[in-house]
Amino acid sequence: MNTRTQRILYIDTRRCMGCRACETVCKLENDLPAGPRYTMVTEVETGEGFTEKLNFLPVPCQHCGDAPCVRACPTGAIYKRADGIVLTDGSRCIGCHECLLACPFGVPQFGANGRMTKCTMCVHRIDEGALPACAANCPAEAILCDTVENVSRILRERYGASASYGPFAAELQEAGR
Amino acid sequence: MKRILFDPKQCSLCGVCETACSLAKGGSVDADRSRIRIETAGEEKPLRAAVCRHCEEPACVTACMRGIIAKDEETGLVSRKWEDCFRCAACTVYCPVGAIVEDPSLHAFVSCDLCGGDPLCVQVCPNGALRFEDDGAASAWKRSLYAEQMFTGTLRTGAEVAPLPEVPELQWEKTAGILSAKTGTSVTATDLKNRCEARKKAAREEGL
Repeated sequence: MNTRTQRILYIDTRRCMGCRACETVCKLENDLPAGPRYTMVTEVETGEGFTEKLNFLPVPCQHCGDAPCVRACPTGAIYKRADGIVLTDGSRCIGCHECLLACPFGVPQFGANGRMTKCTMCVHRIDEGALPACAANCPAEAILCDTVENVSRILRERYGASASYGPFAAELQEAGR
Repeated sequence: MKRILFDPKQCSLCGVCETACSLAKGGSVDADRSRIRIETAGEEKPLRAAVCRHCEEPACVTACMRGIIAKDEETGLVSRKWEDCFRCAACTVYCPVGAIVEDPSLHAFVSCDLCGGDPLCVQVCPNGALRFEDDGAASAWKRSLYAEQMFTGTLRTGAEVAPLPEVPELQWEKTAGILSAKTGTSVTATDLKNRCEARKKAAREEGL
């Protein structure tokens, strides 16, 4: 994986508030019927009593560096583009579901025709220089889409801009900063 | 359609699914004849289940020289008229998941028929590693599992080798009960446990 070229969808779980705007715009952008969901917001309860909390995590395709689905596909229908986006050639898919079993995130979806479809990181928008629909429409700016290096830079900028953000937030608040 | 799905993280390599399948379909215990086989990667590491996926565009249908394999348009089930099979093995060669096995007692190559909609292997799996679900439910379950592991800090990387989960003692009795009732043969919990040990030993030797 080349961190300079690999594009990723980074999700900031501290910012996500579970509004499901990403799910909605994804369905609209990709013209999806009932059934397939390229991204899905999952809810997880953690803690007990006063610390009890509902967490949200949208799970789109992670476009893995060494994608298990690409290795699992017996017909070579899944491939990785030079910029790291994992795409599917629907005409080569035989619908054997090996990718769904191999994927640790449950990303591969199957439409009415039984062929695999999945999050393309809105490749048509990226080729035009725009952001994917989910990243462009997230009201909390919880979804970032860029190369690994650029995402890292954005996160460091955010961390620097706000002391109430990051792993030492509690300590900093206590110290009155 | 619903398919048999396998979660390697919950599998304890007990081999009960293989025992159940060969008992129900062939009448005797023979893991080689089972239509579901758990494949391992190295020492005691369950990897995947070789079982018919009922593909949308099955390679076996194209490969079959007698045209006895067909995919039902309505139910999605890939079935075969095994009586007419002349054992050319073309389906086995072409199957991408290795799900087709030879049944010597039937003189034919056979694959999973989902037990008519309620697979026995899924019912008897003592750890719940096998699931019978449609695509949407499977995907939602996997996504939730990943999110839960992430937030609770229990996410494991692929490089870490976790010990095989143990089968609870009470579960053996329950599994043996279901198996006896469904196949009409008397299977005891001790039998199953012994076979489980033998299966693990075989996996260990395979890995060496």
